Parts: sequence; C-alpha cells; structure tokens
Amino acid sequence: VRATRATRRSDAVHHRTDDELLRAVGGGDRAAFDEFHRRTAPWLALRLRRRCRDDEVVADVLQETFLSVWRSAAGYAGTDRSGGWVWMIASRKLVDAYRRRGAADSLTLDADIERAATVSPSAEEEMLVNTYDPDLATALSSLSPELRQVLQVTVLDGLSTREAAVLLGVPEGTVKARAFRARRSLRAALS
Amino acid sequence: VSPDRSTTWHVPGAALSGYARGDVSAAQSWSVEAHLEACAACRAELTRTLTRLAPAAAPGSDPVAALRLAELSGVALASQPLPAQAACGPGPRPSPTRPPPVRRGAGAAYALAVVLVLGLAAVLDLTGTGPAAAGDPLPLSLLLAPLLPLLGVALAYGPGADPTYELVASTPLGGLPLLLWRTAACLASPCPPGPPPGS
Repeated sequence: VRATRATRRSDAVHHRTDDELLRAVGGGDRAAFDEFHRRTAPWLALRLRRRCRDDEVVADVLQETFLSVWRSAAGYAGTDRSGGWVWMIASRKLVDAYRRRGAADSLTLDADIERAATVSPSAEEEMLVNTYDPDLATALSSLSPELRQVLQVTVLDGLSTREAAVLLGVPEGTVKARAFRARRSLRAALS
Repeated sequence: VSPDRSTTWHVPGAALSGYARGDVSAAQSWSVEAHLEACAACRAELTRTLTRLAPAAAPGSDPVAALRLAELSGVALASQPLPAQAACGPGPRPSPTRPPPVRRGAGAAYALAVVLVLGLAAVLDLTGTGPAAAGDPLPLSLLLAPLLPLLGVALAYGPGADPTYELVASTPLGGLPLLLWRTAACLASPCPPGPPPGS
C-alpha cells in the first residue's frame, strides 16, 4: 500500500522542475526526494565513477551526497543551479572519502589516456570531437596526464587546491605548480 | 553562463551515449559534464540513455534504496538537531510534515520486555530461598544483575533494531565504549535530580 501511494504521489511530482523538487525536499517532502534521487543519481554516479575506480567508494559517496541533499535542501536558493549544487556536494564528499581512506591509487582521471594509447579514435569519434572546439580538444589531449588531472579537478570540478591535493595524493605546492604549467601550455597551444 | 544558452544548445545524442558508455575523449567528456551541470533536459536524456543501455544495472534506480536512505536520514535528523537549528531556538524546529519516526514493532518489543521482566521476577521469587543467611554463597542473579542493563541496551541498538547501526558501528567510539555510555545514560535517567531522599 505504501508503495502504490508513493508511486501515485511521485506522478504528481513528475512534472516539476529540479528547483521546485529541491524546495519541496527542503520542506521534508519524501516523494519529491525520491523523484529528485531518480533524476539525479544516474548522472551523478556516472560522473563519480569516471573519477573513482572503486565502486564501493562511489556508492558510499552517492549515499552521503543524497543524505546531505536531504538535510540541506532548505538552504538551496538558486535558480537552475541544482546540477552544480549537487555536484559541489558530491565532489566534496569524494574528497572526504579519499581523506578518510588516505589512498589515492584508484583514481581514474587518466583512464582516457590509457584508452587513447591502446585504441585509435574512430572516424565518428574524430567527427564528434570536431563538434566541440577542435583547438581546445587537441590542446587538452596534448597535455600530460598529470597536468590534465589537475585542470580537471580544479577547473571542471571546481575543487580548491587543498581538496585537489587530497584527491590526487600530491602536495599542495605540486598542484599549484601543475595548474600553472597546464594553463601556460594551454594558452600557448591556443594562441 | 546565460540561461538561454543551456536551452538552445544540447549535447548531441551520439556524444551523450558515448559518454554514457564511457567511450569519449577527455575534451568531449569535459564539455558534456560542464553542460550537464547546467541543463536539466540533457540530464534527463542521459538518464534515459543509461536505462536503455543497461535497464537492470541503471545506477541508483532502486526506489527502495532511496526510501531506506530517507528513513535513515529522518532518524538521524530527529536524534541530532542541526547546529543552525539549535542556535536559532530552544529546540529542534518542529516539522509538521515529518513526525518523529517510530519503529514498527517497538510496541511489541516493549510488551515483551515487560512480560520478561515480570516473569523472571516471579520465577526468581518462587524458586528463591528467602533472605540469604550469613555464610551462604551469593545467588547467581545478584552476580549477573549489573550486566543485564548492558544486554538490554545492546539489543535495543542491535543491527536489527537500530537503523543507524552501520553508521554508528563505523565510528571510532562505536562498539563497547558507546554501549557503556548508552547504558550509563539509561541508568542515570531514572535517578532523581536532587539529593537522595532521607537517609
């Protein structure tokens, strides 16, 4: 009976936007939370899995992230920023997980490079890359794995230097130096 | 990022399914991820792609997990108010939509405990030999009595009864220290706050 009631209520929340859902979650609405979880968990898990090879850690981080969403949704006051907001929580939780474990050996930031070394890109993939900025794509793929990791963690994932250091398992000074070198070589490649 | 940029441009379907399969270059996955953060339509499309790729193994599609998760967090919220709430008022903010969760079977457990305690007392009374004379060995029940509260508290917070058991067990204070603290709290609660009456 509980399941059918939940299903009927989730039908009602089905057409709401993520922002409306989050506001309802802030008010303690369980159906809204279920719907938000249904929408968010897949892409969040995918993105986390691209950064952490350990499925168990990913599952833990995902759980803690949604726990945090449930508790702090009342503090969400943005418009159309739920994706970035959730990712901010998830990336912090990932850093926390690595801080607890003290092990940074299962990061998969360099998985793309390993694959690129073994598989030559197909014509379709070449074409797809070209739908994005081709200069940027070339410049990015010519960066060394260490520099690209640092750029991904700090620029794309929006983590601080200290958090990046925890995630990558290198000293903060190294992160700063690599970020500087990465930006310089990108600038050189794009100009 | 202007809002209409996220509505006019969307990740091409092939790129999205490539990303879902984990089969894209770094630059492409960067742009997909950056766009996904801002675009709800592409997030929904990605979810559909994922369920099409692996209907059974779609991550996080288990509503039971979400339900259990929400229940778990409801208990955690009720037991420890957030610092902000504690600072704002005298107690946790009353939430009319979320009554404090009561475990199913709590009433049965309570009734069982009452029956056990009364029954055990009656059995001991019937089988006992009255006041012990000097030199008699101590009855076994007197020796075991201090341990009984520990047993009760351990059962009440056991794996089957406490929804936060796994969380608590993973903390440094979990295990015996926490059991002793909880028992101390249980034993302290019936004590009168003032000085003991008469002597």
